[in-house]
Parts: sequence; structure tokens; C-alpha cells
Amino acid sequence: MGSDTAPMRPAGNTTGYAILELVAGILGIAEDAVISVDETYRITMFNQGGERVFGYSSQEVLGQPLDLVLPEYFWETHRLHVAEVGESEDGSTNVGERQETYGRRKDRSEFPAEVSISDLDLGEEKIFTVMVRDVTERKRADEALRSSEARFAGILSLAEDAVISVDEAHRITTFNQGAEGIFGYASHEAIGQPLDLLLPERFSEIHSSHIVVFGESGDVSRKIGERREVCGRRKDGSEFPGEASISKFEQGGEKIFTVMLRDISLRKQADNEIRSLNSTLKRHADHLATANRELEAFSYSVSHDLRAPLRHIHGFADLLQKHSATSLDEIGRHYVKTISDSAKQMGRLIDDLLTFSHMSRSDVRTTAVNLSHLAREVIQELEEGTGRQNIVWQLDPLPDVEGDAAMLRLVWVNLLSNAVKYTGTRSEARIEIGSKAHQEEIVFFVRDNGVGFDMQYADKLFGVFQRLHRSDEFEGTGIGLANVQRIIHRHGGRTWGEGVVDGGATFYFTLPRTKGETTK
Amino acid sequence: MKRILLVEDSANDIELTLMALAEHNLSNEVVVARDGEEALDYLHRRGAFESREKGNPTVVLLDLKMPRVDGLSVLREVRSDPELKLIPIVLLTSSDEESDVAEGYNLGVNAYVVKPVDFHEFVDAIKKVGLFWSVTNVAPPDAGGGSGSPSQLRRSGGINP
Repeated sequence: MGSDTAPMRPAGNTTGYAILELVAGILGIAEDAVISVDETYRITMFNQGGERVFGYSSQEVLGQPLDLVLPEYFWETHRLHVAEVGESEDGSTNVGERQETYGRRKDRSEFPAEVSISDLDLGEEKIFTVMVRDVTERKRADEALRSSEARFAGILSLAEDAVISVDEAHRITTFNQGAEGIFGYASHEAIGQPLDLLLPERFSEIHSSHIVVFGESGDVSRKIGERREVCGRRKDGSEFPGEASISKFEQGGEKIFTVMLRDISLRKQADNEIRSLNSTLKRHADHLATANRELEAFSYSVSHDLRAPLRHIHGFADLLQKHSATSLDEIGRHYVKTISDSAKQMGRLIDDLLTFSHMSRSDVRTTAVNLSHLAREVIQELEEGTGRQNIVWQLDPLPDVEGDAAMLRLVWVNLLSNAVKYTGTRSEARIEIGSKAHQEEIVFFVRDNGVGFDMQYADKLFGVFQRLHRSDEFEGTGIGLANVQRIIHRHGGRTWGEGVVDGGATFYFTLPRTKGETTK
Repeated sequence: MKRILLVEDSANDIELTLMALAEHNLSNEVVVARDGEEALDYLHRRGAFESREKGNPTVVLLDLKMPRVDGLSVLREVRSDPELKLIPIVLLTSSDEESDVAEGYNLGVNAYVVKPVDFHEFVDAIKKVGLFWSVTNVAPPDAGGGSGSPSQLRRSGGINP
């Protein structure tokens, strides 16, 4: 501090001057503002700290009222206070307690300040010296700390997990709301108690030794119970399975352990339920697999063992006819023929049933399938097979689909041969094949102008061996549409039919839409 | 030496098959084994067939489903025996079960023929098989041997042409 900035009352000797120099030096390096005022609260000294804190130079404030830098209300209380002190006998010293107020800078901004005042009574004249410290930073740090503590406390109280701290003696020091919920103790009941309070007796020793071992280890945190189940004990004595992790930190040379513990009884219960459901599921799957194997064995047996006797019946009936050609009359020959025909019919039924069973059991081998191409092939085969010339085919372009080509071919074979069969009585048969794309699926249809059917039997159309016509009207075993339905179902689609007696029929099937389909 | 070994457990099928072969004068060429065990005994010339003359049949018509040793087991054993492995074998069976067909060809069968229920078709199929393998086809070396003494074999009694 220069002598021009702080006029000091000269003392009466050189030692006094030396002291003044010393004080001036101290004042110069002080961080705090040091301001002296006279009895009328006008500033008589303003150190460099004051210049830094308030932004004024000392010339600007010397002789000014202290109100300039400290708010009046603060000063008023002081005035009263001084008045009291001044009247006391020991009026020569300070009013040194620190008080909090606000300081005002030259730019009019205010800041939190800590102020202490000392009074110097020189007899005829009083000097007050005010020390002002800008505590903005400290306030901010305090605030941050408080908010962090509040946040932490909030988290602690929100956590569903139990958060429990223990000291080195394993006495509980923190017990959050989660812990209250899980263990049933209020925090004031738990705090100060040994950790054993929360553990089944048979575990307490093990747990304590774990904490000791962990305390001595270099780890900062650790998950407990990864290999062993952690078990907690509630206030009512009941036990529950838990999952816990532990962390430690040192405070003032003492280790503090914090355990986070989760009650996993619900999860355990859910796990058990899932396990039980799984095993039920597995039992069902096993049953299904067994049933499937039995079905396969059955179908294999049908395929072999039922065909052989039919072959024999047919063979020997034929041989009988040849052998007894001369001795059999017309009725006898009719009987033999009936035996042959029946054997053949049963042969067809068995074949159809096996095909149907095969459609249900064999894997769907999915590839891109050109349905138009398949339909054209089948149409050609049917024309060659039946030799019919009076069919007008209308095959619209069809989108490609994904599916089992052999199975989808069978769909066309069944639907188109049906259309051919049931238009057999028409002088001109018209058969139309088309499709319509919807959001999720594509609807395909085969429409004919044949004999149709009565819609009240529509639900029988797709049943196994269900027929809507006598076999002397139209031949067939009644398996074709059942095959169609089975195949389409296995492709994730639906089937249905519409018909009018003597007014034609339309059969529909759907297939799910696939990516990248193109119309051919 | 008979040229055709028919392995078949069903008497009815034996009769019908021989009947079909007889229509083409092939039934005299046939030796019948009633199951897989007997077929292997015959082929290995052991047991009841110890004294039969050497030589392999021109073709084996092999049923699939038989008691004790079934057709696929016979096929497997024949194919793994250096003396027998070249014998042409035709599976002649009631079923075209996919797994059987696949397994048959896996084991090296030469043909797989399903016996039709319709007797006319059946006769036709047997005729084609019999003629092809015993007449048209050139048998592998060593199929032969002189005429044996198949006295202990069950023969197609009474239906020769």
C-alpha cells in the first residue's frame, strides 16, 4: 500500500513509523478488503484488497460514505450495535464476529460477503475497521456440495435396493428407504445396530469374514453372491434370497463399507415358474414327438401292410376270373369285378391318405416359386391327360412366392383337376386363374363354370374324405382339397371356397407376402 | 444255377410274382428265400445252403419289410461283402416311403420298384424287371456257376408254365 492511498495518523516516534510501515505492508498483501471509517462512517482507508474486491480505486472512495460499498441496512444494525458497545465500559475493542451480508461493487453488482468489524477507540476519536471477504466461490462450493448431498440422498431414498453402510465395527451407519422396505426396519431402528441384525444367524459369521477379507483386499467394489446365494433376514424373521454388491472407501482413516442389496425372491419365483413352464413344455413336446413317431410308424405300416393284401385281393380276383372264365356267369363276373374295383378304390384311398399324411409331416422346403410357371405345367398335363379340347383357360400373371415348390404344385394339381372334373358336363368349360395382392397377403383363386356346390356344405369342402358329390357322379376320394388346405396352412395361408349349385365354383387360397416378389 | 433270387416273406406275393414271371417263362429261373436271414444264408452258402453250387444270382428281387432280417439289412450286408457286392439288387416293395427310397439308394440298390395294387400293372412291372435284369442287362463278372442243387429251397410249387 502506498502512503498516498492510506493516510495514517503519524505516531509520535520512529518506532511508531516502523510499525505503521509494517501494517501498511500487511494490508497491501491481504486478500480481504480492509476499510477504515471514521465516526461518521466515511472511508478513511481502503487497501489494495478493497480495490480488488470492489473495483474502486482508493481515491474514488476516500471520504465517501461506507454505504457506497456495503448496504445501508447492514450498517444501521451496526450503528445500533456500536452505540451499545460504545456505552459499555470496555468500549475500546472489537465487534469482531463475522457477519454475512452483501457487498456492492463499482459496477453495482452485489456479492455475498463476510464482514467483521473492529472498533478502535482513540479517546476523542473512534476508528472502525471493516474487513470484507468475497465469499462467492465458497458459497458456490457450499451450494454444489449441498445439492450433491441432496441428490445423493434423493437417489438413496428412491432406490428400491437396500443401501446400507457399515463402519469398521460392522455397525450400520446408513439405512435407506429401500432397506426399510426390504428388511422391515425403520432406519432409526437399524442405525447403530450390528450388521448381524439383517443376516440369518447361520450366515452372519461368513458374511462378517467376507467383509473383513474384502476390507483387506485391494478391490474397491465387489459383487457378492455370484457363486453363493446371499440371504437376508427381515424384521419378522423371514429370510429372502438376495443379490448384493459391496464397496468401500476410507474416511478419516476409517473404512466404510456400503452394501447394495436387492431382494430377488420375486425373480427367483419367476425363474421357478419359467423352469416349471419349460419342463411342462418339454413334456408336451416329448409327447408330441412320440405321437409324431407313432404316426410315422403308423403311416409306414399302412403304406406297406395295407397295400399288400389289396394287391393280393386284386391279383387273385383277376386270376379267378381268368381261371373260371368259362364257368362264371354274368353275375359271377360282376362279383369278381366288384372285388377288383373295391380293392383298387381302397388302394387309391390309402395312397391319398399317405400323401395327406406326408403333407403334414414332411418339411416345407422354402424356395422362390414361380406360380404361373407351375400352373402352366399342370394345365398342360391335365390337357394331355384328359384329352379335353373344350376348356378355355385364362391364366392371369401371378406373383412369385416363397414356398415348397412340390407342395404348391400339388395345390394347382388339386384345384385345377377339380375344376376340370366339375366342368366335365359343360359344353364349354371356362377356368380362370388369378390373384389379388393385399397388404399382408396375396389371394389366389381358381374359378370355373362347373356344377358348383351348395354353400351350406362349404365347411365340409376341405375335410379329409369329405365329398359333396357321389362317386358315380364325379370320381374322387375326397382328399384333394384337404391336401390343399394342409399345404396352404403350412405356408401360413388360408383357404375357402364359394359356389352356387350349377353356377360354378371359386376356390381361394392365400399366401403371405414376401419381399421382392415380382409378377410374372 | 438259378438266375433270380426272390426274397419275399408273403406266400401270396410269391405266388403272384411267380405267376407274373411265368407269363414270360422266367419262373424256372427263380429261387425263393422267405426272409432276409434265409437270403443271406443262400448268398453266403451256409446253413441249409452249405452245399449249394457256387455262384451269385443274376439279380436279387428283394422285399423291404420282412421279419427278422429286413431288406435294407440284406442290402447292407451284400454291399459290404467283397464276394457279393456286385450282385444287382432290385428292391421290390409295397411302399415308396421317401426314407426307404433314400436309404435304399444310399446303400447302393440298383433299382427301386413299387408293386402296384392293380394286378395288371403288377404283372407288367414284374415282367419288365424280370426281363431287364435277367435278359437285357449284362451281369457283372462271376455272377455265374453251373446249375446248382437247390433241392432245399422252397420252390414255386405248381405254378410253372
